[in-house]
Amino acid sequence: MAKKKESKQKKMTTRVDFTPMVDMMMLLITFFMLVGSLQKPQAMHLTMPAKDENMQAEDKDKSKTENTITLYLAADNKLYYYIVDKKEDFGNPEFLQETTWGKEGIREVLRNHRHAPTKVLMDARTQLDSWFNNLPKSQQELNDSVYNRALIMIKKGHVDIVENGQLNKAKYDKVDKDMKNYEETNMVPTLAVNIKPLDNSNYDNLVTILDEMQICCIGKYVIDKINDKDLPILEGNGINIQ
Amino acid sequence: MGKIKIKKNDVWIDMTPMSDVMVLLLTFFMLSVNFTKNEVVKVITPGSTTMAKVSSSAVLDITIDPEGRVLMSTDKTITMQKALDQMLKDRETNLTPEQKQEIINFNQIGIPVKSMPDFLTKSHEDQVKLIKVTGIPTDSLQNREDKMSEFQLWVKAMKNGYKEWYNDLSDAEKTEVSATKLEINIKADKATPYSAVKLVIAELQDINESRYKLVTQAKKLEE
Repeated sequence: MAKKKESKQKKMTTRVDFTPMVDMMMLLITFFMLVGSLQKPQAMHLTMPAKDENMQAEDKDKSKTENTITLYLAADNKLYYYIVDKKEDFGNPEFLQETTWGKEGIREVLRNHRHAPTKVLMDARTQLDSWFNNLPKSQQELNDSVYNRALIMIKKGHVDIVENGQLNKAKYDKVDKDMKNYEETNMVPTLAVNIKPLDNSNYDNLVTILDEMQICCIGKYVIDKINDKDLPILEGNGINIQ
Repeated sequence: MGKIKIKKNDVWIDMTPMSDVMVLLLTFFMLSVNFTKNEVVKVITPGSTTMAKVSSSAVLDITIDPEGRVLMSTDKTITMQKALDQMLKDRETNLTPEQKQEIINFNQIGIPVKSMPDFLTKSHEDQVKLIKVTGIPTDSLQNREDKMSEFQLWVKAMKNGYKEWYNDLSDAEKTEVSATKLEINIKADKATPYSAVKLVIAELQDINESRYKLVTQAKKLEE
């Protein structure tokens, strides 16, 4: 019989080599980095009028001519705008002006429109934003619907619901009760935008201009077709429509 | 001169902190990743400053490439299966279950239904090429009273497919599904001509679809 050894605990080094583990991690990270995109795409809502010929004609005439601006998106990223004071003037090629994209161009035009500047609305929105952002986090969730509704009111011209960076709750409630029929003298005029992309413009132009509508707080805009009335304006300025 | 004795050092590097960092990074990537679907035709969407995100379920993606070709995909395979069955019936084309699966595996519908049997006889490379140059036809079909185009039929079939799937769910399952209807996402390339987008929107309006989401990339607002 073998001699029984005295059980002596051998001291083992408990160091584990992590290098293979790190290698594997690296591989996994590389996989996840390549396979996915970090950013989720943004969605822009677009509602087109249902096809109903009779309704459209009536709706178009609702906005006053002087509060309207027509935008033509043309080939080679060109952008033109058309403002007339009187309905009779529509069709006169002289009133067409060219502008550029972005902050210095089209946004300035919309901000400083002669009769319905969106500057006022944008300022009101800034105030609404500051009110909302200064609320404590718990309050923000509760007031989310109020914020959205107030934004709609501002877009309709009820800029007096905000004052000095605060929401005037009394006025908000008053408008809220009867938004459709609420008419007060201090409602500011709002701009109506006719967006008319030519067939040779590109999709990027369309999305950029729709985005500009959001930035400039414009509630009334429509994507419209080029019709007979637009043709003399475009042809008179030598703009290629095909 | 005495010999310089090089002392043998133990070069063991402790990898534990490294692996800690790796685990952290890995967790970050795993949580934040959105798997991009392997689509045949990819487009570069324009940028916008909107904050709303595209929903990840119950969507019907309509892709319009720079040449104006239209392709369609949806997030649920079952919706696509049902839609494909419906379309095959409508267009009087027959496919075996394996062939159907092959079509669905592309994730994107981009060829006319009538040409599907012929399409399946080709090699994979040729199929991919074909999808890239064909697209779903948007002109109205002959011999149809309602003058619908194949594109419109697809939209309707997809919507029905989703509805069928939704109606088959039990009440308990229904509460977990947020959307009762398919949402239409229009995903066009920056360089897609407006005329192509106009055509798609007009066809959608024809079948009373007037709400869409335009898929865009995040862009910073210049101030």
